[in-house]
Amino acid sequence: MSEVLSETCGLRFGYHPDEYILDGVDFEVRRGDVRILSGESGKGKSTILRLLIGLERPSHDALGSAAGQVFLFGEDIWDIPKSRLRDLRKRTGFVFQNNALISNMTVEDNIAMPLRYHTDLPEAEISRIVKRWIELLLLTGHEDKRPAHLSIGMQKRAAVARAMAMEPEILFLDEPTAGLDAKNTDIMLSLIGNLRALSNVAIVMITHDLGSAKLLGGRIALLVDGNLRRARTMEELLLSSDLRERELVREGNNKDSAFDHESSFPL
Amino acid sequence: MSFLEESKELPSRALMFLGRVWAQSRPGRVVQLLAEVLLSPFRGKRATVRQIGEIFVQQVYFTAVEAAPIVMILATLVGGVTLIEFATVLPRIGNSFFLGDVMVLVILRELAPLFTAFIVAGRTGSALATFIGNMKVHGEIDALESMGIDPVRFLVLPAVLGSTVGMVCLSLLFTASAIFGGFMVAQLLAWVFPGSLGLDMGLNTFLERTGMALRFLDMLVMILKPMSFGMAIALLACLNGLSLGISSHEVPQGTRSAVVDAIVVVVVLDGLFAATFVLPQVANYIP
Repeated sequence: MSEVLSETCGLRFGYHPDEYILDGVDFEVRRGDVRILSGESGKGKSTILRLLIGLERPSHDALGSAAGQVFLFGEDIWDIPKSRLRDLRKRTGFVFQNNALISNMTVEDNIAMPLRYHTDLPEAEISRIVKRWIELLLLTGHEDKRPAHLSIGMQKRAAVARAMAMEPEILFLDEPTAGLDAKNTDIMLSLIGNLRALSNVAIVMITHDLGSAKLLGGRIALLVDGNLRRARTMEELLLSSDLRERELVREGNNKDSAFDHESSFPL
Repeated sequence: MSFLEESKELPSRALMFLGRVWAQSRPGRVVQLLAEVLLSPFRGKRATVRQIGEIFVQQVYFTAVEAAPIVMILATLVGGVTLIEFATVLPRIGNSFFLGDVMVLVILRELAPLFTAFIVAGRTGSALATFIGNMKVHGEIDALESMGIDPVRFLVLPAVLGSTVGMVCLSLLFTASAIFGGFMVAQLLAWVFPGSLGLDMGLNTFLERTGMALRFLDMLVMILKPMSFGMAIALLACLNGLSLGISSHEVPQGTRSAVVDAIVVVVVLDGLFAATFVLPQVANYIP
């Protein structure tokens, strides 16, 4: 069995004392896995992703509630210093729902930033890597633009390029198709599929659009009432005995998508 | 647990509680951020120096170069007004030979660092708090963290260094401009009231009198004060920016707090400098 990259054990988390929005999350991602997280809006899916890389940690001011353990590459991230956590994050990529590109930097500088910060690579090599990601993510001709001058689809692709720049072992995607039209959704999903084929990166993706997401071939974990259910295939979920699960899957499966395997971009 | 065991743990619990209270308090957070800034150069790759260097140069340019014209104009006026005030008072208590001492005491020690600090707090402090605050509310700080980039090393360190260097340069420029303004007004007064105020002197004499009044301690204060003011302004701006939540409405509040906090802290630091450098001298005159 392949190595576990990210794992939670009995995770409980809330932003207020004794008030848990996540109540018992057991989740693991192995090398090369694709995991789709879905569920109702505002119920803590993004919080799970943030917890997985330590952007949310138990606070010492007793304002929040947290219990359980979160492991990243085998290390309990609630138990290690921030500097060590930052070292581990170099091996992950994260695409935020709002893209969170640095607004005063060009697309090229945004993608080059982690390489310049973490590596001693010469500038020519960094430029070569950045150019490659720009080509792969269909951003050629937009390198010198700032995020505000890009369309939402381009911003999302730039965010994916930045997340992939360090060639992470695990890629977290927080609703990468939110706000995109059907055509851009297809482009984004086929690009993510291509990235996976190219680098065997493990993918954890939040989406409501299960109809498209199932085409990435991953297992779907539903967040219901703060509890993350066991990851299963779409077919298994459609046959679930739990009415809530079936409803959530049907809702997600009925989203419009013109995804077509043949429209995938060849590498 | 027995009463004896519980009472043994009491001091450590009290210390932990006090530690938490201190860590959450504003002074505690400033000290914590300062410690992180001081330690941050020793963390991370050397390659980041280039990126940090760019932000540092931008910060010095914004703090010192762009603010230079307004500081020069303001300083010339302040220097002129200060000389007018003292030129009318000094002849009453003796002669105008002490003009140099007055210029050094008032402008170099007090007015230059304070006025410059207020300008830097209003310009750089507010801009920095807005910049970092916007990054925070738009998730850009989280994005840096998600890439394993330390925001303190990447943003706060160059901003603090840049503001400190910029503040020192600006304060020196203020001093020079104020002394020049004072000299121009002295010339004007000597021309309007020839011989009456004891201001008939050339530039060399004026500078000589000012130079004679200048001591090592003044030169030390001339550098240390703006350094500490610049550092405090930038630290408070960064802290206020980083402390924001996720709502854009918080950005103006953070900016306002950064400026107000900076002004208060600058005045408090000024008082501490006076207590450290001036009071011992006063003590020498007490019989």
